Amino acid sequence: MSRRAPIIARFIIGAVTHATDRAWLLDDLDEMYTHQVEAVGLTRANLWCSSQVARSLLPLLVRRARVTNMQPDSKRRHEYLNGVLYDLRHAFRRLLREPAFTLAAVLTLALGIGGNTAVFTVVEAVLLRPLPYPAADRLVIINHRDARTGITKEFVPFADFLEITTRQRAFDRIGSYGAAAATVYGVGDPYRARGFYATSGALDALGYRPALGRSISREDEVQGGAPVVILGYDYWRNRFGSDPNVLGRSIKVNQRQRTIVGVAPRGFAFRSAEPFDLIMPTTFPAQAAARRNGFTFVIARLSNGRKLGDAASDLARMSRELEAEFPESNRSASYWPASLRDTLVGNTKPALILLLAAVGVVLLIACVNVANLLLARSLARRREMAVRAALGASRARVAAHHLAESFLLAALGGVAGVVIAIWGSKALVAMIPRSVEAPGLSDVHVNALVLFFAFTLTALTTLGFALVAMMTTRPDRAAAVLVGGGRLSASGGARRAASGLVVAEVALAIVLLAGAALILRSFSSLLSVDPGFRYDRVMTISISAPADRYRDTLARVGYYAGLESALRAVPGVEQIGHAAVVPLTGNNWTVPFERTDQRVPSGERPPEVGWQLASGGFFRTLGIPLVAGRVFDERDRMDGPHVVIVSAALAKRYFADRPAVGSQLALGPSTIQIVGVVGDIRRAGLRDEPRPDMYFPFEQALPLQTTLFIRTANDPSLQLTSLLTAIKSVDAQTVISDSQSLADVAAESVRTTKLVLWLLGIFAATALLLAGIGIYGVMSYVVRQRTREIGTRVALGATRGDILWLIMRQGAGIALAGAVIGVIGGVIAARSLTSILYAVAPWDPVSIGGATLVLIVAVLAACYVPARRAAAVDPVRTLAEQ
Amino acid sequence: MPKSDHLSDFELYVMLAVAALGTNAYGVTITARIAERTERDVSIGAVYATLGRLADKGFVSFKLSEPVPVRGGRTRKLVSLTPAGARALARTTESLRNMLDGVRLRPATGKSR
Repeated sequence: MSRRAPIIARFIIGAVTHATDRAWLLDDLDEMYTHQVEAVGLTRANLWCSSQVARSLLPLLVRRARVTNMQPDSKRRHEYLNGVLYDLRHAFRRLLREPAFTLAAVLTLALGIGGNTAVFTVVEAVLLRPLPYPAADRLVIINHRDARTGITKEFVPFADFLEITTRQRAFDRIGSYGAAAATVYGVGDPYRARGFYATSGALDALGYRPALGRSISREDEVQGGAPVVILGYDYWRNRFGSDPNVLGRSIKVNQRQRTIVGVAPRGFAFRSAEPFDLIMPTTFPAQAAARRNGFTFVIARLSNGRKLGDAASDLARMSRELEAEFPESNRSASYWPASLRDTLVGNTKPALILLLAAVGVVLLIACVNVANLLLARSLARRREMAVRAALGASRARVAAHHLAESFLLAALGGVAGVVIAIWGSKALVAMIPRSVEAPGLSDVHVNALVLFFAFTLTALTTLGFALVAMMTTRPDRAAAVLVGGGRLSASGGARRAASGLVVAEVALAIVLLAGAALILRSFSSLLSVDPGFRYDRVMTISISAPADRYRDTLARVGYYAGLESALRAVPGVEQIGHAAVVPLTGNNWTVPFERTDQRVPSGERPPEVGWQLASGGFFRTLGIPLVAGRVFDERDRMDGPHVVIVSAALAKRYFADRPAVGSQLALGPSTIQIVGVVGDIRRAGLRDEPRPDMYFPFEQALPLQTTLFIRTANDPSLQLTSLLTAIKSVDAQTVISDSQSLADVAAESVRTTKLVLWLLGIFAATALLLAGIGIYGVMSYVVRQRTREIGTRVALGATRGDILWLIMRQGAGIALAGAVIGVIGGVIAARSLTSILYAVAPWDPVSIGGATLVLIVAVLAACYVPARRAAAVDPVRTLAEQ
Repeated sequence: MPKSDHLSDFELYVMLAVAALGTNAYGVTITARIAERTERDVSIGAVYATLGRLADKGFVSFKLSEPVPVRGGRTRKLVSLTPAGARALARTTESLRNMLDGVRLRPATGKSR
């Protein structure tokens, strides 16, 4: 009977013995051990065994080291690194041997992966990165919709805000907020500070934690209470030298002394790119004010576990209650919540998702192209693979071989792609409109998540390529390939696969081209839209006059007269106007009114129209035509009768029965007279249809803050410095908060469309190019495969034209198949564009037809080169070669 | 490829044992024979290491035996001298004999080391 040596002995010997000897040695050890046990007993046999092990160690280790050293390099690595390194090295050498192929494949992939990563970088920053507030996903902004005007806005009347606060059941925090510039006096020069007005509820919702002192309290919100202010961190550091004893001191903000009660945490901002300088409480009158008197923005935080839908139904309930209780003010008014994220991101979200999809299609096309290259190449290498298989390479070995090559291509493409992304994402950010408030936008960079995204893309492409390569080289078909002799023509399957890939490529390219064409048409319609005013050669400058110097009317009249003459003195200035709101910046302020001769029945809500505060010069500067009556002039004085100018749309809608000029309107308790009718303008944005508007005279309000509109003879930005100097010359204390040419404002308002247009255009052009290269490659391959057949045909009398037609027909077939699929896909995909399109239907036949035509022409052009080569085949030479 | 004809004493013992054992030369028998004839404690590991070295030099070759005719019987890795090995052995023993010629050895007392 045979025994086994003690396990510990077997283990040690096994560990030090080289693999070639291990089994034999262990068997021999067992045999000898068995003899020993029989001869001297178990105990002494074990002693013997331990001495055997001890004395075997050194010779065996020396032997092992020698054997390992003597083995050839490749074999040893193979064993140690499981062949991975070997495969990679092999693949690398092979790729180096074909630099043209490698370069083409890597560049194509780099474009695809880089484009995707760049767009994803921006998507991550804008859509995915958490907002910098605790529980940011529970924050909502309350919106107000007026069913009669169709205007949705974020303003909520104070009275309704107070009602909602007491009635709501979906939020655990709710508060009012608003940003407004405020002038600080007494701390160095007067300073135009970024101010934030908020209630304690709003700050709580935002998770506000003071860096110093306290937050805003409920007592601060009562009108008539002690005025307080919280300093922004940077403002505190720069203006107060981070003085911790600043609490309790008081500063003058606008007209009021305010006591400093706290310092905000560093970087505290909300819906603004820059942190606030000052935070002040929103105050409410102790008694319920007249309804519809004053508006505010409202932010709320959903209670734990509540969804946006819960808040929506809760707000709908309250809207119905309020409408029933206060029909005069709340007829047709409803409230609904929008998540903070959606509010901040605006219509950039569909645009970004669209771009991500589009650039994904580009990557698909890039992959298809590389797959096609690989396919052609692997067909040429079928014999090599067959030989490998015949020599015993398993399917797994051949697969590993393909995987290594695909991985190298994808990895090189991925690395180059990330480099492209770093550069591309910066360029992309520059194209995003300023109205997008997403905080992540100021900090767009390639981070871990983005790298993971790029890595995943790379891994997926790797797998895809390996699959394509595997499809054509199946070890189980090795015999057929070898027996087939030297002919290396593509199998029907492989050729169909290549053609199928190009069909897919053509279809995808048409989808992108059609999308780009639709956006192009939208963009040109937007640019050619007549806004009702001229925005060329107009500079807008927002100013605010120092309040304490111009408290009385006479002083203000003098100030604005001085401003007018100082600006007129600047060479090139043609017209000067004032207004409260810059057009095309999305402003949707409305005001209720009624005709004095047609009072709205009591209990009903009067109609609301948009309004603007404007001087007579505003209409001249912007070239808004006067339809009837007059514009404001020196007759309209502070102490004169109240007058108003209405837009043509208002006159048409509310004064169909009599001339508007000379009629009276009632605004609350006051009565005003219409003195003029002017042309309609698109006030909020180029996409909006012109709405009824009302203009109140700047001359009768003379606010301390205003925006100057200055028409110049030449490019207004060239004269900005002299204009600013002229303004300062009137009063050096005047604060200039913003200046922008009206043309820039208009360009800014179509920026999202422009961004999509640019990128989609680039993607579509890339797709077109890649599709062209793809079909060129396939047709060249086809021609090479059919050279002999073509030679025979020519020998039998086929003309050059016949051969040209033969090849072109094949290309045209592919193009047509792709076009059919592409048109269907394009129509479906274009529906996702609806929110970005303007004045063009998603199924617009011109765009889709044009895209198809362009692509078919491109494909045929790509086919023409190989077709000509085919037509030039010399039958004598071709047939002799065979 | 034999790198050198030189054989260390243990290599010589192993080759002599292989030559003597003929068709039954494998790890166990080689170890036993050397231990028995030289009265040295021979470790099986040393024998294997040496056999490997000799194989590298081309002096021995291996082949697998038929399984031992018992239940679950094992195959053995049998060792035989190659022609080169046989020549090297002949040369070494010849030189050894030549060297011993004319040398008077004292009779051994006790165990040799």
